Amino acid sequence: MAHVRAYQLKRLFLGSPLPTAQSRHERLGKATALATFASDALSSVAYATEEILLVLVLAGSAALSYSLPIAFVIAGLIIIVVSSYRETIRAYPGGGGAYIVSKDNLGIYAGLVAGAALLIDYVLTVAVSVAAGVAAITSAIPALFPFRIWVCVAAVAAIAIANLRGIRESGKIFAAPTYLFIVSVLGMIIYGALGAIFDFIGETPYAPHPPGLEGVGLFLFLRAFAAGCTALTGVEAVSDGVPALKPPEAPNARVVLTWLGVILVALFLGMTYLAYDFGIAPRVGETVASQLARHVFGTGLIYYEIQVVTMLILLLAANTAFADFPRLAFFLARDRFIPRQFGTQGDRLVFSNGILILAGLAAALLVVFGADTHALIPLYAVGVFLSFTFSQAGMVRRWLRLREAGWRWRATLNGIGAVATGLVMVTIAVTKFVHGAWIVLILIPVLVLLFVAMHRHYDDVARQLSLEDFTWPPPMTNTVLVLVGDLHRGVITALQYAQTLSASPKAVFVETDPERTRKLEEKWSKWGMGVPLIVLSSPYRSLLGPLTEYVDTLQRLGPNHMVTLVLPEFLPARWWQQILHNQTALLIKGTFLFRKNVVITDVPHHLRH
Amino acid sequence: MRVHVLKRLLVGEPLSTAQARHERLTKVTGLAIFASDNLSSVAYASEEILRVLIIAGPAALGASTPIAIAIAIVIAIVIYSYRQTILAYPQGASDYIVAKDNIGPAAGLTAGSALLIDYTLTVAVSVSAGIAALTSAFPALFPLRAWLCVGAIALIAVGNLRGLRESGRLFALPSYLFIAGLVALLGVGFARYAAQGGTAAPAAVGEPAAALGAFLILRAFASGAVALTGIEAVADGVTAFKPPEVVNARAVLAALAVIMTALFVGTTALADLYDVIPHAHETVVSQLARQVFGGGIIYYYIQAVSMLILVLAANTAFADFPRLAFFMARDGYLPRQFGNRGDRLVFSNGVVMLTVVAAGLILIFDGDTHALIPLYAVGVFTSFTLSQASMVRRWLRLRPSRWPWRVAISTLGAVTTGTVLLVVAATKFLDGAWIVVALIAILIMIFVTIRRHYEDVAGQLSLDGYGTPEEMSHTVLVLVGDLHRGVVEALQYARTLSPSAKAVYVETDPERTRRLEEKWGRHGLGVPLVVLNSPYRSLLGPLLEYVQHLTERPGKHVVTMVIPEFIPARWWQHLLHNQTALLIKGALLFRRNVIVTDVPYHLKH
Repeated sequence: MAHVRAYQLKRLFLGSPLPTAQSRHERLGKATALATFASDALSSVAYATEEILLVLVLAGSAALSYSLPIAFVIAGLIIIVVSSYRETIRAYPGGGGAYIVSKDNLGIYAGLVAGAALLIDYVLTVAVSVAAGVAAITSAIPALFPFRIWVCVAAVAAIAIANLRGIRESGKIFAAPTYLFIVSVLGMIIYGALGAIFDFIGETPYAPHPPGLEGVGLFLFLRAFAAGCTALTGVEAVSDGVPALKPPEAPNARVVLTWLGVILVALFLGMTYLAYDFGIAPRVGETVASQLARHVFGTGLIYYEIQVVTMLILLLAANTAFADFPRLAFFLARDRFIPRQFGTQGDRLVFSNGILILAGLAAALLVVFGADTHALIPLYAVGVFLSFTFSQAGMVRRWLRLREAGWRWRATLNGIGAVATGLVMVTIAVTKFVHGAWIVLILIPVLVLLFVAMHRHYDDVARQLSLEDFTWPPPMTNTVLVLVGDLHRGVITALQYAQTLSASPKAVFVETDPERTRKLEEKWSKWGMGVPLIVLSSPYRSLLGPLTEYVDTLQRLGPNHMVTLVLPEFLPARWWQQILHNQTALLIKGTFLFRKNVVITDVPHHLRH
Repeated sequence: MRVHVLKRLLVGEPLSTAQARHERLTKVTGLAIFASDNLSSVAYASEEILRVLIIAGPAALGASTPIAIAIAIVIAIVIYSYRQTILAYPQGASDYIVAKDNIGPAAGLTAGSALLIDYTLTVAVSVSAGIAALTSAFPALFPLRAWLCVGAIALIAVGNLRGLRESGRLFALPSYLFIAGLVALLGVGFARYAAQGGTAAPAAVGEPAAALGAFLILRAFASGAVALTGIEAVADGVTAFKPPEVVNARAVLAALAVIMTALFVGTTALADLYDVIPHAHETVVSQLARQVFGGGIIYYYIQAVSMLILVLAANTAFADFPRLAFFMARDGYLPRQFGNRGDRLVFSNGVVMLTVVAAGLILIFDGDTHALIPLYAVGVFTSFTLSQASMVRRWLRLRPSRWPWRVAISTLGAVTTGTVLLVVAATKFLDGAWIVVALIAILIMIFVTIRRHYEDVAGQLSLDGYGTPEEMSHTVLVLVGDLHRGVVEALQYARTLSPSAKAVYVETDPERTRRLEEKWGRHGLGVPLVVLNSPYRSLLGPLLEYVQHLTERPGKHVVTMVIPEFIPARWWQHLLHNQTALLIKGALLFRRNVIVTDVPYHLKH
């Protein structure tokens, strides 16, 4: 009954099951694909500028003006990475995630490192995006600030349910906010720039620059740069998801990626420039983007619209990870590096287990880190750039090996990408090490070790089960025993059943009280159906001891001798009635589970009310 | 394996059923075992009286001695009545059995639930009072008292899981040491008082909160009535004595009456003479011992034996609770697991249950004796009253020799205990007695439900009027997802069950089906392979449909689903494999005429 109710609940949230043949139709057009895959990358605009400013402000607010050159360097990096990934899509029309590219070209261990980095990265994408999205709302409505952790967890749950319903429907839900965000932020940048040029928006009132805690030095620049590199997170999403696009998949994906690069650079540079121009400094309780919107448009309808779409795109950015994590888990499970449960599609054609694990881990991270974006950011970028570097390096190897037309140009392009992202990764790992990057640097090797251990186990099992040079065991013989404690209707069903299994079943009774044995034997002569009754004596009142001994003697009868123990078990109609009966069956199953050549068979007798 | 070794270490080697008769007690150990519960209440009963009287100011404390004497009279009446009961029930006269036999099942269940509650509270109250004796001597331990209590309960439980006689030996000594200690305290105390003519007047205390009225005196009496708890233990445990059981038990009961009234009245009177005032962190007995002996070795001796007898009094309940649970389980009112003796001949389930509930009570009430007392006496007097009333009915029905005299005695007992019950319930209702009243009602309902269920099951399983069973036919299916050694073994097994066994495969991907069919040709043992199509990738849907279709055949047709299952060598490896077998068992468990059989294939390392 409970099973039926749970099932109805599942249908209500997730929709009716979809047949496998419908798989092909769940594809995305270019416009929807841009919305689905771009939300991750674009949404980082909402916090990347702020992360740069948060580092620079350590050297005093005068140092904030260095944000502009740093943003230009990052924009250059975006262009390099996008160009590199366009090549990857060309080479891997079947979906070229960093895991597959590294595994194919650099070897299995590189693939596993990239895979571990990506799994961590996706979990953090969800956590960081949701935390930042909720921060956009608490900037607008400060009263919600104390509840931010629970708002975040609820948001993760809502996204998880949408994803359990299936990918295309998710695509539809997510297209509108992405475009609204692009339009709103572009509008804000243009209006703000015009306002600055024609002076109809004032500068923030000049505040004397407080002295910084640190001097402006190379290390601070590098840290600010490393912080801003979160703007690149999510760029790889398109090349991972090529098969989700409508055919022709690869050309469509390349177009989507180019558009993504252009929009990302424009929004990121525009935001950073405006923040610089209006002299906005980071502040606890309100995001930089919120301050900017408030400054440009005042606290009106447009300001609230911007906050809402910022939140929406961030929440929906988390959705990219909900598409990517289960897909990567599927690849890892297919290659037998993680439990194979991640390899099965649920009845809505999505990888339900991956979605559930991702939601659980992200929610846990949000709770542990108090839903604070800045605390999570240092963990974030390491994994992303590690996988970028491996993926680009893998492509270089590939071009050098295959030498297709134009391979020199392509190898150079991917080489630049690999070197650039590699340098950034080292920079991030060094400058952010104490802030949390160390956690990821430990976690990646641990995960790789786990992957290897699981792979070894699966290989071992496959070898043990393999039928190659399998020598046939001698023909199997089988003794059927019915364990009885009394003689009632349930036992009679079991005896009947045992007689269909074997021509000569036997009943076994463990004697604890001779008086009961006498009574049983009396009944047996009348109702025993001709099955012989074997009485085992038990001076210590233990059921198991004499039984295991008897089974042992039977097994010595032949080389491949099976003992089938039939247990008559009556099933009460209600769950609580179960506690009123001895759990003998359970005890016996537990005892014989690890014995060879013993099969336990419950014969249920269903009771009414 | 490791659990087993630990169990042997704590509980001892198994004992054979034939050894049961030898686990018996002599009079001397019997007194120690069964009297500890009753005697130990001397350690707190006087204090409970004083705690009520102090509400009317220190001057009111003088009323304590007359109240104690009234209680002593009740004790004498009750013990005299119980001596009659033993005579009538030589095989052990639990109030539950006596009430059930003579008045009816409803009275029996009321007495039974009152007693189960009472035994649990005996453990909780005795242990917390014992630990209070300890913390009176060592105030530093006061904050840890709840955990000390739980530790003590666990210790007693282990002692009891080992078996009754060994427990008896363990517990005989402290009871006698306690009696000796208190006799010394009373002797020296009275002698010193007579010699010195009293101690200094007590310090002036603030205004009394209430006047000394009849209600307060009744409340004080109700509090002091805890001195009667545990008297019934001897009558319950007659069978635990060496033969002649009845004679021995009656002798023990008489000795108990003398010792108990002497110690209780003596302690109360002495506290009155020495003007002891109850105190939150130190017990009355501790204050008394400190005044009489100073803080020396004898003081610590008294505290130590008080603690020991109290902690060991809890042991009486550990003998009684499982025994009563056994009787009630035998009658079908409690789960039948309480009716099984463990391999050390004790009713292990009852012991474990009592331990858990008592420890829970201690933690909820934070090891505070006074908070538990109001709950305590209601249950005790309910069962006393029912038991005495039953005896009246019994004498009237059977009319043995001298029956008018016996009726008179039992009636006196019933009326007295009934009156005390009303007083206790009325004066303590708001302090916690209501919990017990409500709980007794709930327990009775649960007992009746359980009994009804067992009767219903017995009716459904009964062979009375059962004709010849319908002819049974049989299909054996092997569920396969692949073909490997585990599956080959399952196929072999299925063939021993039925020569026409079939294999069933649920298709989610035609490519895999093709590969499986190819392998099947080589290793399939000639077992036919049935492929079920599953457009929604669900394993269960098509399978359930197919099984349904098979069981719909005419007559009683049983489908055996053989599931090849490989069992990894280590537990964590289970996480790495699909739990398909579990899923299928869950889905098929409640279907009629479907039997699921796992064929395990054991993996190495």
